[in-house]
Amino acid sequence: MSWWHRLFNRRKQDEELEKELRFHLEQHTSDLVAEGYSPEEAARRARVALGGQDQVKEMCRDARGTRWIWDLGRDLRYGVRVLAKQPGFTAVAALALAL
Amino acid sequence: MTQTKSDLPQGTLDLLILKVVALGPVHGYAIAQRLDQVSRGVVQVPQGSLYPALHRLENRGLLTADWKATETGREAKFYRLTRTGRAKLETETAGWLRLAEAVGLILKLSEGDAS
Repeated sequence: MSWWHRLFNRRKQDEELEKELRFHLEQHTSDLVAEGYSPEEAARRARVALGGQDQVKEMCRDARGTRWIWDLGRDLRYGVRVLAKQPGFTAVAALALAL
Repeated sequence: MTQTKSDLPQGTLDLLILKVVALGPVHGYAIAQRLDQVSRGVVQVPQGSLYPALHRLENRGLLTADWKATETGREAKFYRLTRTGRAKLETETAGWLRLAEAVGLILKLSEGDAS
């Protein structure tokens, strides 16, 4: 994905990251089963090796580097929504634009 | 056979990832395995470091990725080098080898060597 795709496609990115980590777990689990571990033990070991998934996902999001822009965008949208709910906002905005 | 695991500085991990990916499109799990096998167990990247590193390198435009089917039928994210990535790999490798040689020279100094 190009950088601007990454900026606007956060949900898709999160889904892809989830899919990527899941694939890794499955591969590792099946390799451990091939080494002789039971499926449950293999799955457990693979999970331990990967570490806390939430933490890994957090670090990947940080690594994307677009995070601050996403947060800014969300803050801006929130700000606009709050302002728009206040009575007289539209009138003031229209007046300001007309000047 | 137990070896001490090496903790890699981030820049070194990035360099090793770029090198493995340079050999051909590969997914994250295969990268981790390759590093472990080739280094005979010395370089075992915690998988929690590997994926943030891959995403960082992709974000910086050194790697690009596509989803492709594997032999098992499941889809995986395959990474490959961009042109910028290849250039970066070359300069960083040269720098690393130069540094390693210099460190080796210094470590081989013994008492009485001329300053």
